[in-house]
Amino acid sequence: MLCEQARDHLSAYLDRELASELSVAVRAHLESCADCRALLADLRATAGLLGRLPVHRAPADLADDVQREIERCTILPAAEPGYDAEPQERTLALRRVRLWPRVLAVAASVLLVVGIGVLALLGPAGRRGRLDVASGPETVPVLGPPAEHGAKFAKDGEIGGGVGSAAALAKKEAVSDYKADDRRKGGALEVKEGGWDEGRTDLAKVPERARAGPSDLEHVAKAPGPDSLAKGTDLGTRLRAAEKPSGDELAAVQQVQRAMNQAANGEVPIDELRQVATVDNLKRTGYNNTLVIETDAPAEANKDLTRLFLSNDWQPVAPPPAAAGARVERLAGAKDKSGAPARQAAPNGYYFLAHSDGEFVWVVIADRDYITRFSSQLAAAERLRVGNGSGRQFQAIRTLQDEVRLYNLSQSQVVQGGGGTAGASGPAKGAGEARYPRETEVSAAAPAVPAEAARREVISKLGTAQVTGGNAYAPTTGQVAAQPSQAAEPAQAAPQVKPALAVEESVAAKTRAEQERAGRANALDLAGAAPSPPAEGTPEALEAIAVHGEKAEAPAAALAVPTLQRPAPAKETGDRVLAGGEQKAQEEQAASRTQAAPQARAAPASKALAERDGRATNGTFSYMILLPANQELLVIRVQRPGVSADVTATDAAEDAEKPTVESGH
Amino acid sequence: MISRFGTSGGPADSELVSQVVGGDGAAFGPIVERYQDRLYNTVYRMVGSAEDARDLVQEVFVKAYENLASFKGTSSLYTWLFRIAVNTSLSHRRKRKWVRMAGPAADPGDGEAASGWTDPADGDPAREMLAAETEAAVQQALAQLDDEHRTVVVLRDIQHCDYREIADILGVPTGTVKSRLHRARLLLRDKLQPLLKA
Repeated sequence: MLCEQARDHLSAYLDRELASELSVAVRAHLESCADCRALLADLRATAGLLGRLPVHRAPADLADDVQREIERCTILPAAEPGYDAEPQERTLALRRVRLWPRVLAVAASVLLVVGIGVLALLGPAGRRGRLDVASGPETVPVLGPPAEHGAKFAKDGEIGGGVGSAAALAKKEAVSDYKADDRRKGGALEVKEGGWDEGRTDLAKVPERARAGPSDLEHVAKAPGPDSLAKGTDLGTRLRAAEKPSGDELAAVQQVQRAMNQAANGEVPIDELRQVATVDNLKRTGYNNTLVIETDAPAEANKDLTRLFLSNDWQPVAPPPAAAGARVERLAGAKDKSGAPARQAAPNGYYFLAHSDGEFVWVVIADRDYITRFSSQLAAAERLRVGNGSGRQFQAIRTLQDEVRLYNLSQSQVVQGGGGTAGASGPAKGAGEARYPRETEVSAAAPAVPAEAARREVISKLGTAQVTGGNAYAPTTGQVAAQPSQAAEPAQAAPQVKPALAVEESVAAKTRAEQERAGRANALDLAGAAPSPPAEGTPEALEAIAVHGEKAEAPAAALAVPTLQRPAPAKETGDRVLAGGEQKAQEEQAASRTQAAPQARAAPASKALAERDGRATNGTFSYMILLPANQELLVIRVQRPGVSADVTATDAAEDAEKPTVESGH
Repeated sequence: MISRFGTSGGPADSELVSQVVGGDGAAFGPIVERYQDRLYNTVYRMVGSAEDARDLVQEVFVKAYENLASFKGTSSLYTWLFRIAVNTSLSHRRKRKWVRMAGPAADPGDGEAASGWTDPADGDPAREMLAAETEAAVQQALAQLDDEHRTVVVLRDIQHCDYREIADILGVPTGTVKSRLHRARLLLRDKLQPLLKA
């Protein structure tokens, strides 16, 4: 036997996995070949190293976690007193509830996030009423970054500058809290301070018969659920509103539900999903016209979702830009603080805005990791010239960032139980400011406000709880609005918000301002140089739909937010990326950065956010987060107070006090 | 094979499976107890993170529970569970492959303390440190392998599966197992030269 032959068999020889004849031949060769003996010794030593590795045993409570998870999957937790829903309907609730813990189980993992934001842009009161009836009062902001990213936020203070510096700390704490809680409670989410309450089922109350059995869609068990679910879930609300689907409608819901589940598991072709995922059916699912398709291929998801919407009479708001989508991927060139590429295998990110019959759906397909890391990448992106459409991509992320922040604000607002609504368009005024303090702080971040004063104002409005680690996702707003006196005591909170930040920022302010100007010019150049967008409806267009806004009312304000009814004071026209208001704000911001960089940096996006808030106050905003590893879908909805004519303010406040995560396939 | 996983004294896997499928969910408990440590250690070595391993093993069991009715018994339950575990781990890694795998020293997680040293440090801090460094180095080397190589070497050299078991778990011929394992060991040898010489 030659060495070359023998070597191929050495591992198997070592493992005694060779046939006897072959083993004899190898042994004979080894006796005469020192090199092969040496190699065999190496292989043995290598295998020995592995074999001597310590055995890591499963955590002691893993079995309990598994049992809890399985039980959760087989228990219907949301039964209301007297509720006697049809089995199929209970199944829907079952599927929603079961998802959440596993979402948390991978919360620290970097997974794909498919978010679909449904922004019901409301004008007519009648529309509001209709939408609101269809939506629930539940509210839970959830996009919590992993703790390490939260730390980055806090350190960099880049989430909206001064706002972010405080919010970042809060987020960090929040994330830590929920992760800790998650671990302690075996996977359940239960954030303090009334923030989240996933509504864990008390197993002790669950009938024995509900604890066993496979947990597929067909399995239905009924058991008493926690109060939070009973009162706060969409299911409960729909039941109270006598919106129980029945008959054909129920069948349609089931059909869609199953199709979603199956598609999520790759069990059915997407075409089949399209056939059933009509707008009406989607509405019937209670998902507020939202749809998420499970995928770990964002590009395909983008195509599918886009086509899906188009095939169901949802149209892109504007012709897609030539930049072929808001591909966040392009931002992969961002560097982290160490100078290493922040993301080599960057996720794709897409979003598009579509409308149908006056309703606007904001669809976001992005990577959760990106969302949670946008602070650093965003900063890097400002200094990047990442090619055609970079400005749009940047804005896409900024918008996403704003939306995440918006959750915090709205959650806060909801907790207060607010009453009336702000105007249907334009910045919120009066009561709107009170409910959305960030609007004010954003304004305060304008250049005329001295840095420290602005910062203190921001801090005071954020509330001490956030600054010191309150749950940014949970409603600290009670403190925000309920403690106006904090504004008079800024010094108390200010030092806790990374006081060095302003100094650090001031050093880099001039450079950054220059860079931003360059970036803006670059974006303009790119926009001007961009090829013509593909014809609407063409495959190219379908795939290219991405970041855009209305072309009529506010063409230049396109990217900041889905701004259909916002009379944006755009200075620029055409395909420009930056809204006029934003540009102005940015110029002001750049000028003021030497003194108030953290706050000022929040101005442009936040200003758009503030404008949108006024309108969004009247709407429902939803996210759906899809985690492909678990084939699970998390639905988070924010019901803004004053939206529903059918839900009293008391109800809204009550529900908001027990925000509920609703999840489902 | 089953005896390796401590089933002595308990009901057979097939019996437990039948009970669970028949509606006795409690019968799944012994299955979890029986295989959790092996699965955990395997997954841990696959993903390099105790936290992830915990979540993934939980996921594996939930998947198994949900799909137990589809378990036909043509292979052993152990093989079936490990197949799920391997696929789940690989899927997890593919989704976060840019995340550097953390060695045990950096990510002790919440798993039980290492208990399988054949060369225990006997409380000697220096030896303990060396052991931890060795483990971290090996784990790091594992993390650098391709999925197929890491999987086969973990199953063989850490879980001590025989070639046929590995072939069943991975759904590949035993010849493939043989060649992959040999290649994986050669790669590891190159990466671990300092340790081997030491």
